[in-house]
Amino acid sequence: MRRLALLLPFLLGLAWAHAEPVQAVTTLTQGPAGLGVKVALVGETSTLPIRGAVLKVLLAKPDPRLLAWMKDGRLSRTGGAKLPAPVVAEAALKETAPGTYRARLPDPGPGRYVLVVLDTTFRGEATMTGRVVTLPPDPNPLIYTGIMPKTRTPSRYLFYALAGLAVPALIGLVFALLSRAERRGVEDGSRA
Amino acid sequence: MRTFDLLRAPLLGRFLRWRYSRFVLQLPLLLVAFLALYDGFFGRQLAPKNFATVSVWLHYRGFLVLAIAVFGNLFCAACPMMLVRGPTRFAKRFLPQFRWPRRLRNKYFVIALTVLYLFAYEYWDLWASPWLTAWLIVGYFGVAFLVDAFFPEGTFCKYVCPLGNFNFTLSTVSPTQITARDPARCLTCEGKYCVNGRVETAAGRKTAREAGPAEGIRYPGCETRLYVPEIKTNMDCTLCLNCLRACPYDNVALRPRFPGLEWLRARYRLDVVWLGVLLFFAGFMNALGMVPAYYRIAEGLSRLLGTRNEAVLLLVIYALWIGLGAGLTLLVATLADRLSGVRQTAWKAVRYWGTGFFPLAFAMWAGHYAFHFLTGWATIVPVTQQALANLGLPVGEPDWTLAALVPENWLYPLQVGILYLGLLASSYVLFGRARQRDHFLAGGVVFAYFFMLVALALWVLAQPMEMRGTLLLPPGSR
Repeated sequence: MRRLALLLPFLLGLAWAHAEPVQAVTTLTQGPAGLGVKVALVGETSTLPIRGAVLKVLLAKPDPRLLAWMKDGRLSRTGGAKLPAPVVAEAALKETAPGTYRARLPDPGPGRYVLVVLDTTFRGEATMTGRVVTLPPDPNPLIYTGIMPKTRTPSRYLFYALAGLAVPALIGLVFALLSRAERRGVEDGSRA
Repeated sequence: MRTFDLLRAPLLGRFLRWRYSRFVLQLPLLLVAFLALYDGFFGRQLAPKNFATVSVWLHYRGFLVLAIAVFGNLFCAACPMMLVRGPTRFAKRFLPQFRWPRRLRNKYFVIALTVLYLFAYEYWDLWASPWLTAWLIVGYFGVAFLVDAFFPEGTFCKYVCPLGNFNFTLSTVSPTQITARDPARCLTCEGKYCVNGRVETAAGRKTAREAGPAEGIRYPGCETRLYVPEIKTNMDCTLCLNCLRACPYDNVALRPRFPGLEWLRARYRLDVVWLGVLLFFAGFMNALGMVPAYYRIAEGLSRLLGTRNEAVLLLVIYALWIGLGAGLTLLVATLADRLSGVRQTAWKAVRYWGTGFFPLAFAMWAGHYAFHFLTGWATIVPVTQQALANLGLPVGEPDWTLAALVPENWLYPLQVGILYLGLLASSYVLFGRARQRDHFLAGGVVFAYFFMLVALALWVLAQPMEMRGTLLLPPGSR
């Protein structure tokens, strides 16, 4: 039971990716109190708004390693939530309407940055989309549509699940040993 | 614990003992069947948005395993197909009557039908076709009617219905069982009414056979010919509660129990054990058929055999997997027998050790069904609204956003937990059996085999799985 209790946090931490490809429409606007970010998440298959997502928006320096992640100036990948570039501003997005999330980023000053929308809804997984932006943006809002790409359940979770099989095996073993001891006790008693 | 009887519990007991309780349970499922037929034939042919496919392939199966786990074989009790009894009793007056062939009075015929059904499910993608799902319902009602019209009542449930036998096998894990309140009372029972039926005529109390067509109040006996004081397992019990009403001594109880005792004490026939073995391997195959690995296997086999005929490939994969499962089970059971110093045929060895497959089969199906049920649980609301709206009823606009309410963080841990419990229960059975022979290692060998099977099952369930019947794509395919 102790092992089961120890295993429980690992199991509860298991994560599965979103159930469908997700389209993220990001709108960036310059406001007096910083940069306004609005992200609308829509399921590609169901065309339903994705509710209850855990999202963050980040502005990172266009480090060559980060740029190497990008194709055609766009970022669309899964894996760790850590970017290989200094993050100059970040904010958690709040859902203001079903499937629509908003946040306000502190203005890092003029220059080229990578705007990243990071989704960590499912524990242990991160998926992101982003593109290079130049600040300050035009008076017109910058609208960018990205796809939250394919994610995989980390194989270490399967490993935990397989390792946890030791629990029923152990209980079975204990049961067998106990029953054996009990039987021997009965036999010894009957001999006595 | 022994004295507690659900049939005497407040409210629930009163309801269950009521003459029309089964009809009340059947009525909602009959309405569901009618709505599924209507939407399946005339509704939009998009499986995740059709009542036929969503209700049959997501909710019915999900609730079924849940009911079996927490109560018992409720879905056989509530089976709307048994409402054909009225028309068949009428038809029996004009139709010739047959006895079910002796050679088919076992589970082998059902095993064959179950394999056929699973093959059809994959080959025709029944889960993806409301129209075919509706035809399946029609076919099921039709076969139930025909078998019931030409053969004795209960024949369909016991020897033909794959779904019923699936329920019977899985309900060996149920926490309740029909039993006699006082077994001593049954010793002096003159008519064994619980199995033979009771007719209260003007000339006195008689069994159904003794009474013949005589006028009187009729209480049919057990449809599947189970004699209450001898019931040691839920196998073949439809929970129809005919026994309760037929017993003139009010001596039938529905008691809570520890299912492990059934697995250890009941002496299942070989065909019953094979049904349990088949259900595990078929459940595994059913899950495997929804993950990318299956398609890679099928492609490899296609190259090897030089055919792209899906039916051939499916048949070969099913035959190989189930054949491998049966062969390995025979081998391991025989090895365990030899280790424990018992020399008997391989069939008898399977009969002895194969009981451990019952909890494992339940866990495999429950884990798999839980996944499908939970990925589409709230979809039932908009699909029902849509189906009723198609009938012209004012039920409001369907809210399809409910289809996206998926507790994904819980899916895999839940499946893992269910399989752990299954393996744990199996270990109880195996080591309990080993204990009966005082040979621990024999149980250990079979347990190692089960351990390997569960590890494989965990791997399959961890793969990106097709979310059949839901609006969503598989996890891992974002």
